[in-house]
Amino acid sequence: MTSEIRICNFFRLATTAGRVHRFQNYFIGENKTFNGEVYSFSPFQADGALASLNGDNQQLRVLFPSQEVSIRLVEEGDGNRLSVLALTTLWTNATGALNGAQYTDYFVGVGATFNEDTMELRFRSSMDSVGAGFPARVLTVDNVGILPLEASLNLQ
Amino acid sequence: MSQTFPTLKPSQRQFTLGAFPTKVYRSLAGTTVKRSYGNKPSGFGLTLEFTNVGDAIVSQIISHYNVTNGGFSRFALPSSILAGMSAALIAQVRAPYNIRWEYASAPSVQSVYNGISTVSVELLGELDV
Repeated sequence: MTSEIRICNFFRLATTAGRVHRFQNYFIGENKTFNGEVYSFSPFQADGALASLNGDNQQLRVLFPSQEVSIRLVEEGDGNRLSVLALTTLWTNATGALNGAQYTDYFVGVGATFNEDTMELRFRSSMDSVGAGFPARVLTVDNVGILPLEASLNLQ
Repeated sequence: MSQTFPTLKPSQRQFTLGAFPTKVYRSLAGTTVKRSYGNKPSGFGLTLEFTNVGDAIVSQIISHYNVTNGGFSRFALPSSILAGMSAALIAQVRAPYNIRWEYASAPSVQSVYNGISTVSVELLGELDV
C-alpha cells in the first residue's frame, strides 16, 4: 500500500518596513494565486516545532538559498526582526489544485543568519505561555485560614 | 546568458531523463508513503561523444567549456546535438521544463592520431528558476 502526498508551503512575510514577500516552494518556476495573492516560486524549506505541552515559544527555521531575492528580503526587512510570517501548509494533488486541506501558522521574526550558500530566517511562535514570572497566588488568612509560623505547609 | 554549445553533431549520444523530487518513507510494516517536493523533474543527463574529430572541433569544445566557467554557467543546446530525432522528440530532450545545461564534468580528449581526437562530454540539465 502506498500513499502519495504533495505538500506546498506558502510563505507570506510582512517586514517591519511594511513590505510583503510571498513565496511558494512546490510549483517550480510558477506564480500561484492563493487567497487572492500571487506567490512566486522560491526553493525554501521550513522546519521546526509548532507547539509543545508546556506552551513555550517554539522556534521555526526557514532556509533559503542565498539568492538575490532572499538577501534583499532580510536586508530591507531589518534583519527579519519582528517581521510577521504566515506560513500555510497546503496539500495539493497531481493536477496542482489548491483546494486541499490547509493550515496556517503565524510567527514573529527573531533574526536571520547568513552563510555562503544559505540564508536562515528564524521565527518564534507569536503567542507565549504564562511563565514563572507570573505573580503566584498569595496565601493569606482569608483564603487558607490561620497561617503557620514556619515555611512548611501540610496539605490535608 | 552563456554561449550556446557549439553547433556539432555527436557520434554517440545518450540521454537520461530527470527525476522528480520525491522522498519515500517506509514503515516497519512495509507500507510506504511517498512525498513529492516539486512538480518538475531535474537532473537530466546527456552524454556526447565526438569520435575522430579534428583539432578545430576539439578547440571549439574546450573554448566553450572555458567560456562557461566549466560547470558553473548554464547554456542552451543547438538542435544539431540532437540530429536524427524528430522535432517533437527534440523538444522533449533539448529543453524539457525549460531546463538549461551545464558541464557535469570536464570534457575528456583522447588523442587518436595526428590532429585527430575523440572527445567525451557529459552534460547535466537542471531547472533554471
